[in-house]
Amino acid sequence: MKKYQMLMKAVWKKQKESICGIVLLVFVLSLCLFSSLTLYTSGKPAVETEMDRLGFGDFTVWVHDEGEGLAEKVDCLTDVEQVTCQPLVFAGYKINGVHSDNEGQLLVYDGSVPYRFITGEGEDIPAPAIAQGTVYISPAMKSSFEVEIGDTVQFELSRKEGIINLTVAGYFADGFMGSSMIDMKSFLINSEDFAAMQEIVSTAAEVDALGRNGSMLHIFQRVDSSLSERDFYGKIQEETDISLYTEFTYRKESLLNYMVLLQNILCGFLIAFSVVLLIVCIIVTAHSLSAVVEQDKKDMAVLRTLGMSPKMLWGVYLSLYGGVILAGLLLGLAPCVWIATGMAKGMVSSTGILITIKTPVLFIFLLLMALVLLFTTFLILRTRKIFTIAPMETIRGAAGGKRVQTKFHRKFLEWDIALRELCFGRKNYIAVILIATFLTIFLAVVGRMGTWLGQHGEGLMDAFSVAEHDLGVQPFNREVPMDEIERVISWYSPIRETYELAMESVTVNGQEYEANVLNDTKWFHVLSGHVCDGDSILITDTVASELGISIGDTVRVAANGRIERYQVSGIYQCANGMGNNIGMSMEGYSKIGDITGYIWCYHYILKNGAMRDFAMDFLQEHYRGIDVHTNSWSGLNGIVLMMHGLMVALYLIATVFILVCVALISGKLLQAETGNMAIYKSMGLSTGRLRLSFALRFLIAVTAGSVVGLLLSAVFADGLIRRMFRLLGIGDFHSGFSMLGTLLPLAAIPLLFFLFAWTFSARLKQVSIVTLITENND
Amino acid sequence: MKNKETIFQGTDMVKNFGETTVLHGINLELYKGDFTVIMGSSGSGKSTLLYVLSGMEQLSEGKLLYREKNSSKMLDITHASEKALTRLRAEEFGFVFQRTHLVSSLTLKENICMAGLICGSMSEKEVREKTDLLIRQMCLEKAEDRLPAQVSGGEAQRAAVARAVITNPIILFADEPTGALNKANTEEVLNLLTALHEEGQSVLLVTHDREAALRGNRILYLEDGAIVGELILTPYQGKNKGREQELASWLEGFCW
Repeated sequence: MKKYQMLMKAVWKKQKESICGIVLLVFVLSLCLFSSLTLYTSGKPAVETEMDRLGFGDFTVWVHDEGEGLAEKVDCLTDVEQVTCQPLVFAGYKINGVHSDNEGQLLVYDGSVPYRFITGEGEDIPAPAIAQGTVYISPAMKSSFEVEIGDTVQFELSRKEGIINLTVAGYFADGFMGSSMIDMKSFLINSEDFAAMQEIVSTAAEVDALGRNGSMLHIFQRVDSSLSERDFYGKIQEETDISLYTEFTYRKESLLNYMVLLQNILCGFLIAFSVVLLIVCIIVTAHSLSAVVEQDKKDMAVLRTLGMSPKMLWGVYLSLYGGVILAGLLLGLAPCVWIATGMAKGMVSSTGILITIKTPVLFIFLLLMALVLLFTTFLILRTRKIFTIAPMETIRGAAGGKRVQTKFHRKFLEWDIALRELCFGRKNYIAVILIATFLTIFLAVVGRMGTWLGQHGEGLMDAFSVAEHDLGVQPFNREVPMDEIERVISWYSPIRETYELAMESVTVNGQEYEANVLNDTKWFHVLSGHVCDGDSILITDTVASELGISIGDTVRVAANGRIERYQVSGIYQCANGMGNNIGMSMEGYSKIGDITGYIWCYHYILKNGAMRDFAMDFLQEHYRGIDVHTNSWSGLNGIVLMMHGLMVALYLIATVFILVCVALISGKLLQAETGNMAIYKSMGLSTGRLRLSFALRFLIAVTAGSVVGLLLSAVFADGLIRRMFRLLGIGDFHSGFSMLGTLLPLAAIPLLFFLFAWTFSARLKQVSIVTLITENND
Repeated sequence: MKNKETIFQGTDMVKNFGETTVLHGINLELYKGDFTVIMGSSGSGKSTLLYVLSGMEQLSEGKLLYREKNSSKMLDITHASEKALTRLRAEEFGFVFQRTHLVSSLTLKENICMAGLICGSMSEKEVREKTDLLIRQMCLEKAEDRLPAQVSGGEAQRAAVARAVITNPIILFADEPTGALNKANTEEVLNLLTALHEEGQSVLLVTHDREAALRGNRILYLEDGAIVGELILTPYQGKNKGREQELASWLEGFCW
């Protein structure tokens, strides 16, 4: 036992730099993996618990007008366990001069529904008594409107003295609508303010009314009901007049998916990144271990001659490195709950809800065991060569290396030496090439996604809108002077194109969807098949998989009590409502719906798109009875912020990883090449030139790896992103050449390797020719 | 020695390693064209003297002057910068070590050529021509494309000598160059050094081998960090009993 300890101490003393590096790598991997998994596994149960606590039904139906009577009717139906009614007021609003594209829902807070109040930083606070004139909002609005406590929210209830200003007093976790993925936001207000608002809305003349009274009906299905969700809701629609009042309906599962979508995307990226880190970790550990065994081979040979068995030596290395890796894993595991909590808090401005972190103990334990097993297997494989050490041959020192033919030129001596060393010791650089390949693939995926996303979320805007546009104007009555409005828009920028869009509720084969109706179908983003006409419709990938239909199939589309059969002409992209929508032509929709009402929104594509916000502000300020919007939505800022934050975090972690990898690999290489370095010095090659040559090896190897990674990412990245984006309802993703996706990984990764290698090669300054001579004069 | 050109002039040279003084105020001049041999028992400071003269170690006290190539003035290199020393190593000094210390990833030919390429005073064409010439002179034609690990000790050391002289250095520093060689290879390497000296190459050889010391024309004996004896011999012209006896009796004075 004593000799084990002595040997372990000796190996530790000699290899402490590389051992510490491995611990650091495994620690970062473990931290990243376990934190993101903890957040991921906590997300859905936490949101579900919150929704249950706040009384969200199996279905929640948003209706206009009083919902009590409707609730009673629904409650009488068999298969219905319970219906609760939560009154609300729908109203448009303005914060800090920014008009919301969507209405908000004002809810009374009297303590009967146990809302959770939080700070903007995600800390729990005790439930306050909401004072008159104040409002509590979702923290997601911090990112969409840059709203702070003390700001004023202006609610538009009626044109005549119906603008109510409320001061933001704090934030609450919005369990139903908190996420930036959901346009509508809830506002909690005092019961007196609520009653006053209801009064304003109900007494306003129809022409002046801007807000509406409404309710949320939380409908619970009986546990013993044999109906499917779809049939259950169909029955409610058939047997009550709920559809006459319905604004929109959400299944609990759908809303839950919306609410956890952003953190799932974040966790998905982090988990995918952790897998890349795991691969990199294994490669680096393999390289380091091989170098250690190579370096200690002579010592091991001497110990063998003293009677130590290879098994004993193997045991020393295996237990030391195994222990080190386990320590790294445990060190990373320890703060994962704390990190996940921090991430959850940091995300409240995007998710609008504070995820309560619960450690999935069994899952984490099993994963830890799997990782230990993986690393142990790997260690066993890499240390096997200890058994093949032939004592005397090793002590004498066997001749090694194969001749490599590369030319030397005075002008490019540093480069030529780098190339020679690279080719001569190619085995040592395979690890570097592999690491560069994997990191490039991953960062290219992140970069491509970032480019697609755009600085302001342009990618999401296009994916979530039916068709490209800069400005949309929807008139609500005949008094709206559309000719004049178009002239106003033209002042800001000439109008390049214009078309009309209506978004109407329909059912397809009995399932409710939104129909995007265009007067000019060329604007649909058709992915396959062809655009629709009067007898056909377009469907999204989501609808296709949900209904099990494809191009050429015939479907029944119904609205307003009329039903028609249409053929599916193609698949198109529109992620609105997570892809739960279809595309129709005006001619096609006219068969089942009224196209003469004020359902049309005029979409304008401007020659100078940058002017759209100015035009929108002017129109909102000077015209009534219209809804003006851009291609964006209020929660987009939050999503873009989160995605950009995620990208920065991934780049930073990758940089740290590269730093540690270079430290480990360059340390071993320099140790092994001290002799050659000193010889070059004795020939008059300066330390600066030697360092440059050393760093160039990394540059050459990593550039090769990055090019391979880039080529692989060109083949696979879009497919990977597409799969992930399908979760968002975005059916298609294409990326081309971009600074972020192509040039950044290709330039940044080799450059970082080069710079870190240059930095770590500073130890060459200490390589003394005297040491070389004296070391070998023994 | 008055007719010879001084290339190194050390005055009161002291070298300390921590509290241990290895060189005790040595005064020494090295002359152009000399084959100077430094002898002494282990720990006498002979290798340290070579290191301080070649700029690998800096003096703790004293002064060291050096006459650069094609210069009439003596340059103070006592506290020369690393940059200045690097240039001297590349262009004016040549080194041969006990172990051959060839770059393991380069063939013998490339090792020789590399030193020429690093040195800036010759064109690339001249370097390649000189490399070929040295390979022929050192009889390395068969081994020129082999790696150091694939050749004999003698071949490797001959390549090391060729590498040291490709830049036409002012002085060739040789630290126990035959210490790791068998008798035949030792003879080969010593013959090479002698041949170079005959062509005018200044050599400073550190050795404790009497056979090697016989190749020199000026022998210095070090004891406890001080030069305690100096012997001037006629130039080596093959085996000569008289020279051998002269050296032997001189060394006997130091209980050698």
